[in-house]
Amino acid sequence: MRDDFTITFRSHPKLLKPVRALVRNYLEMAHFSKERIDDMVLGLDEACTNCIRHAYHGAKSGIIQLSARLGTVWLEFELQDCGTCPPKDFLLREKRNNVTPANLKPHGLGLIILKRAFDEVSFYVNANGENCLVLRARRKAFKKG
Amino acid sequence: MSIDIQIIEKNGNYKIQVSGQVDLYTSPDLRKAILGSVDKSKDTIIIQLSQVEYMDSSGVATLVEGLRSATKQKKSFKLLSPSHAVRKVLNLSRLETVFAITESNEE
Repeated sequence: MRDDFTITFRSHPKLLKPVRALVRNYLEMAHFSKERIDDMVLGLDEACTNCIRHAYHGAKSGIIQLSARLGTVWLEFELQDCGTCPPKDFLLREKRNNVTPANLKPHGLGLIILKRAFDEVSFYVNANGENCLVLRARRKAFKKG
Repeated sequence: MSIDIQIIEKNGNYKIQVSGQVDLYTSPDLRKAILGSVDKSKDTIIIQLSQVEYMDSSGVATLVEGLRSATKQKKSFKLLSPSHAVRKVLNLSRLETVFAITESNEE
């Protein structure tokens, strides 16, 4: 699969809004339902937010690269950053059962949302030492004619 | 800015009307408004969310902080008419049952 687009942007929170708009337009072009588009825009926004907050610790000058590719079966986004590498098991940290106001915590919500918004989420460190998060969504069966 | 926050005080209680997009960029302003209102409020804080076009986890975390602070101070914290975008993010973060949600503007 070739990339449909690759953009590079600074890790500044004010850039999240235009990135969301770009992703929404791209997903509309790919004919996903509005509900799925809303989920994926939110999921991708959470991934970018994680880069800003955890990889770059809030620094606004970090570099984030977002690529998108659309195959016949899968849509794939890849997000790269050069910040702090997350713990190896960070994608497995999702335990939030029986939440009550008493045990409620304001942190860790982004990862839960991200994992529910996409069908597959994986992480690797590439040869350049960059953090790479891959978000995949299965497309509906495509009928010819 | 892509957020508008209005704070309305009535008989010592506070209602915060939020419109626009709540994300990592704008949620600090909402946090300040909510936590300040929780502290000043006599016993009830209502967050009106019907005009919120978009909310991410930083917005939810802000609501969680407000709820925790209100609970600690034995005050009531309610979400009024959350928009579809707000309900979606609450649902995805599995927190839809944690907040008191009302559709009535009576209070």
